Amino acid sequence: MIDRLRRINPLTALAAVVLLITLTYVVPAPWGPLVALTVALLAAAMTGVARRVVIIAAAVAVPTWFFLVVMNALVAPQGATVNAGGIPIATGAFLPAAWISLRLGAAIAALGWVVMTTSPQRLVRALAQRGFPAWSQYLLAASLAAVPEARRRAREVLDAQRCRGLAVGGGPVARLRATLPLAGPLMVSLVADAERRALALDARAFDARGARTSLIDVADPNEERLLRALMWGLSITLLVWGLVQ
Amino acid sequence: MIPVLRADLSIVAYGDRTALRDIRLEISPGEIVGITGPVGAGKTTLALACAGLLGHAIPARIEGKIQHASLAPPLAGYVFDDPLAQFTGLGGTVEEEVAVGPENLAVPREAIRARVDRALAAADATHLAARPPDELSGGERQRVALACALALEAPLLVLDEPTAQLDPDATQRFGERLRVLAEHGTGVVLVSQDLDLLRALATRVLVLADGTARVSGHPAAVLEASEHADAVTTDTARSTPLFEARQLVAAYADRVVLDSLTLDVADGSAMAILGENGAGKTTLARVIMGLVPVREGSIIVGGRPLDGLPVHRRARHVGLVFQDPARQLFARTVLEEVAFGSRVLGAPARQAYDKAREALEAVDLTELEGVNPGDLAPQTQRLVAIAAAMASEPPVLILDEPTAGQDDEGKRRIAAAIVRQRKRGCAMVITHDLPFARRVCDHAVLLSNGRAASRVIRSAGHS
Repeated sequence: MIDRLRRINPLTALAAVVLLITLTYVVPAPWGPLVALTVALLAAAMTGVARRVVIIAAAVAVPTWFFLVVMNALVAPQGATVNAGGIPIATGAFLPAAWISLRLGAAIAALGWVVMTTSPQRLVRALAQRGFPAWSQYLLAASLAAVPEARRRAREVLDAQRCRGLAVGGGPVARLRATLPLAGPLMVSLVADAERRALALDARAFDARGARTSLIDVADPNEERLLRALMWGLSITLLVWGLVQ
Repeated sequence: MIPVLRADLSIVAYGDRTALRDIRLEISPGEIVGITGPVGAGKTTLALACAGLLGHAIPARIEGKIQHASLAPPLAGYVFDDPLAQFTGLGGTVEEEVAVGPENLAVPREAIRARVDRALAAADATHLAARPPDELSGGERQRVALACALALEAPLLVLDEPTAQLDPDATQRFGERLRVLAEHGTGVVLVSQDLDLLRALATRVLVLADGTARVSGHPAAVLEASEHADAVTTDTARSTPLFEARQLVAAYADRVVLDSLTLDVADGSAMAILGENGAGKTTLARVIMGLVPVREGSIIVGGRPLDGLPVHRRARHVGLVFQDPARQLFARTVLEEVAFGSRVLGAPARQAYDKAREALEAVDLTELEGVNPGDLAPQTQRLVAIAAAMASEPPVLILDEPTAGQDDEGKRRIAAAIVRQRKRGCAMVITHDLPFARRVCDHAVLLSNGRAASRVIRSAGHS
């Protein structure tokens, strides 16, 4: 089962993510987001990326919860309040903030799992095999690759500037000082990379007519196709149900 | 015989800047046309135009006509001067990346496999097939870039500095394979600063300057006799070792890259670090800077071990100029960029700018001090990066492939910078450019399998 999940067709992983995100936002909290989060974490654990998925989901959800609580319970309290040392606190703000954060965390966990486990290159080839247009293949793959690419570039820029004597740790002032020498080349590199990729594609007959073929056969067994159809069907049903509700 | 390319270009311009003017070029099947000229002459623009890439991904105004023998893609296989630019990111392994072109052309799977194998073999890169493109060395990337272009099997092949990062053996094999391709009818445009390569391969050479064709004809008639520049000698070399590496072991995961490497460089000397592509030359530089951890061994500069020092503190002792200087340039002006290292190392502003001006003078770039480094050609950016490293006055300066793509003037400026460095400490030059190494270095080590396999000592100017 674990091995199978690691070799899952990227299109199945995409369908699963769409279903989990739909579940998160359409089915009322806490059950919808809880189920989605559980499934995403289970899949992440089975594919060996649980720790990283938990970190990024928590890194988004916890500050969001904190921000919402501060805004709705302390800064602009609405509804019933309790007095804590002379400060009115709206107790009713805690639970909605928790549900919003839970939804966000579940969606990030699902997306994080697919980004960390799906090779953009396999995705492109899976899309090519299913006859998707070339531009859509590249768009999806570039989106998936954007974060790791930016991290790689950032590492290169960081290395180059540290070699010139730039210390990147220390207090807030030191960190602020280090921002420009790091952010400047990073931004320029990312823009240059995007232009370079476009040129590289142009030089490799990306504008040729006809459906792309593929060197690698990305396995797409019948049971996965069936599962995908079920997941897409369920996502659409949930969306329609959500709209009607 | 129908030409594979016929170009009649009145003007090619980027915005208001005219890059090429009045160029006429016709290439027959089997012909290898060399293009050379100084930095900024328009060589890359002409190469891009020949490949039909201008006006698509690169906006440019073209007045004139370019006709290819092929009416549908692929019009030409193209090798970029920066091998990284070749990679689309659609291949997780080298063979998948090479396959991208044939996949786009809707070639059936079995035929793609055959094309990929042929291209990898022709580019001397079969052994790299299963490696991720991101993990290749500069020279390995260049081989794969060539394979990517070959896999298109276009009637025209346009190569922009295809050997700038190849080791001498690989360059020779590249030449042999290019001849075979030409014999089979492929037309080739070969842009290079390597006049020996053009003499050996080209059937015709076009010399560009300021965007126009200055001379065109047979290489023997067009290219002057090979310049064997005099060695840039100094009497600075002393017997005291300034830099010492002792029994260095470094690895990427399970792959050992440096294996008990021992090396020392005397104060006042310059050492060339030579070796095949993938031999570990750049890794050595990264290990010295602390970017790659040392598993065993020690690095000593001026008698002081650097072990345990963080990267930014090593910058006081060692300056490193990367292969791709664009990773570090951020300032608004060249002067600010060059002064940056001294400033972060604690020099007062005035002193840092004085040092920066001195360093710029050493590489003859004083007139560019107010220019934005982002607006400069990559070769000039590299000179700025060298000046920036020198301005911090580190006792040890490491230059990684400093002459790649440089014209004679650029090489002269780099040689002058190395002479200046030798007066203050020592230099290590990672290069495949043997004539340049002979010219500026008094020692050389050949890295092989992560070890300094041999050591060559030369008398001034002659290896």
